[in-house]
Amino acid sequence: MRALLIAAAALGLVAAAPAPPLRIAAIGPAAAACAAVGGGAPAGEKAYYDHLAKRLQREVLKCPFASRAEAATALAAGKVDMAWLDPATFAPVQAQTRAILTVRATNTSNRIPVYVAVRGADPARDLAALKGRLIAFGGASPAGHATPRAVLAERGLGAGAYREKVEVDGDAALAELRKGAVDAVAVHAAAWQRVCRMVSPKDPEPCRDLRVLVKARPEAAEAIVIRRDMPDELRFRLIGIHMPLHLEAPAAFAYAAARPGAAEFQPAEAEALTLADLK
Amino acid sequence: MAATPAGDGRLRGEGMARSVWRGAAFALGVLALAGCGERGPKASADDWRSQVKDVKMAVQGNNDDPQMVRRREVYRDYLTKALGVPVKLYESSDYNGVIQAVSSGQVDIAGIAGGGYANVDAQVGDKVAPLLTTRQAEGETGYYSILVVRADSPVKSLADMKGRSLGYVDYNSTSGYLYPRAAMRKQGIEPDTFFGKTSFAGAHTQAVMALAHGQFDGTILQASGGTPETSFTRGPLRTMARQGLIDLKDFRIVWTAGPIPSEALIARTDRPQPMIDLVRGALAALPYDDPDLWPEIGQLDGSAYTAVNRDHYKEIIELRKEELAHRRGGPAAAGGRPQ
Repeated sequence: MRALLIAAAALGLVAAAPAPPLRIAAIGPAAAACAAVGGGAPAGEKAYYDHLAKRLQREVLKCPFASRAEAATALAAGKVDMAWLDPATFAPVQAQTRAILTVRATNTSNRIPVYVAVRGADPARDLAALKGRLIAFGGASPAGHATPRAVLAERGLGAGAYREKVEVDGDAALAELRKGAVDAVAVHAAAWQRVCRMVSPKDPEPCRDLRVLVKARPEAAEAIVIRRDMPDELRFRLIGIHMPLHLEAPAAFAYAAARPGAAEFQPAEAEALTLADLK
Repeated sequence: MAATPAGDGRLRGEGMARSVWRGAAFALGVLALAGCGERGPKASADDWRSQVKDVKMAVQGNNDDPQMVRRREVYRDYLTKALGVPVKLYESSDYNGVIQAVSSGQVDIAGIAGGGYANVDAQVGDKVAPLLTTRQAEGETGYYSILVVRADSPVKSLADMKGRSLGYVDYNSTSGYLYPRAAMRKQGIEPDTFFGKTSFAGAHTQAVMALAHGQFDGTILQASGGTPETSFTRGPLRTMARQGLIDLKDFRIVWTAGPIPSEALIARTDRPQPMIDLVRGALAALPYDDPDLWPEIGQLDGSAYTAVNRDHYKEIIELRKEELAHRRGGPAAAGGRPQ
């Protein structure tokens, strides 16, 4: 009898708590109601929706919109749960939504943080003050040069707005700054940490003589965006399912990433589609 | 159903869980008999927590290093909050402890070097899978073995070590044994006969101390956070220097091998998939959600997790097989295998 009661209760729970469907915005010729992806869908698309449904243990629906702006509005209004947005379509819905995933391209690094710093005695308090001045970069690699340049350019300091010196590595760039041979450095986070992280208890703040003007990741060109009120558990599971997609379901990845040279999904900070500095 | 951390409540909770499971199993049987079980149960998002009361994670190390202890606490607290169940860390002072804990299923997840994973793979195959490794700022996903001597040593290269004493870290250490031996063989040096004497220090820290005290002429260590060209920012030498235990100026690197695929976060594949996805996602989100916390768990700024599978460690798995085959081929001659 007890087992029957428990069985009945379990049945009740099962029936009462089905997970709500995950609704994904898709850009198509015209808006339409959310619907399951049918057997006639392209193989990659079907594979993606099936993979998500299986792993999330819930129905996953495709919700067509005519434009990203419409998808963004629907996302903010709670009519869909996930959408691909760019900085322009993200801006109006930034208060209600956040980025969670971007795509890393083959042979590129992560969206690594970049430090722009000057000597402590320098009057510069922002990037605008570096116009026309000499900036040292920590190497010719993409992480050492192209990424810091991108971070500067996104903030109004494009190539030509400053003079540059490309050093062998971040150590050399920071040494040049300290010698007064350059006015500023733009180095990636690991190069900064290599010099500025405590290496001895005798010197716990090795870079207290320098002032950081900017610490930021490059702005993402596109990102998968969700509402900020999505529970962390579902957000983490979406990240945990998408990250190995290229390994576990290549056809689904090819559809979902759908960017030239896409290598893998990587997580993103909430403000990845903006020029916000890191804390 | 939330598990109580310990005590009578936990026992009651588990008993109730068993009752509910029996009932749920009965209910599913009813569904199947009624022809309604075709799509299976509509599991709610936290169903896995009825199967997993806590997440057990094995890590290698000891409590001698306060910084390491602090890192583990940060790691455990973050994961506990993210997973919604207690995360219990099981520390093993040697590599084999972690290997056996995950192979036997005593723990759910573990942080383990490639060589350790190769050992696990040999024991249980696809019952354990790598989930994540780290990609560094410059894009590399590996680290290095380094041969270190005292700064006042006449040894300037690996060739100069002929007939001298060498310290390895541990038989199961990838960077401290497995990989450098394979690299030496590729360079035409048979490690079992080239050195006058070889020994196991037990761990990287002990290897450094043994070298400092003159027990070895050289020792193999791990180094990361850079390349031979850029120099390294992480590894036992740097860690011990930060603790004030050694002065970096007292040591020299005379040889490097690598890169070696970085440590993996591995998981038992017989655990609920939602839990595995959640672990992977929560950890991977950390450097983006809380960049200040990321270095607190011992990660290098600018690095981030990337998803991996068994293929990422194929080279190490093959190297381990070769090493085993070599050892089974007969006892080494002069110098011999480590005692």
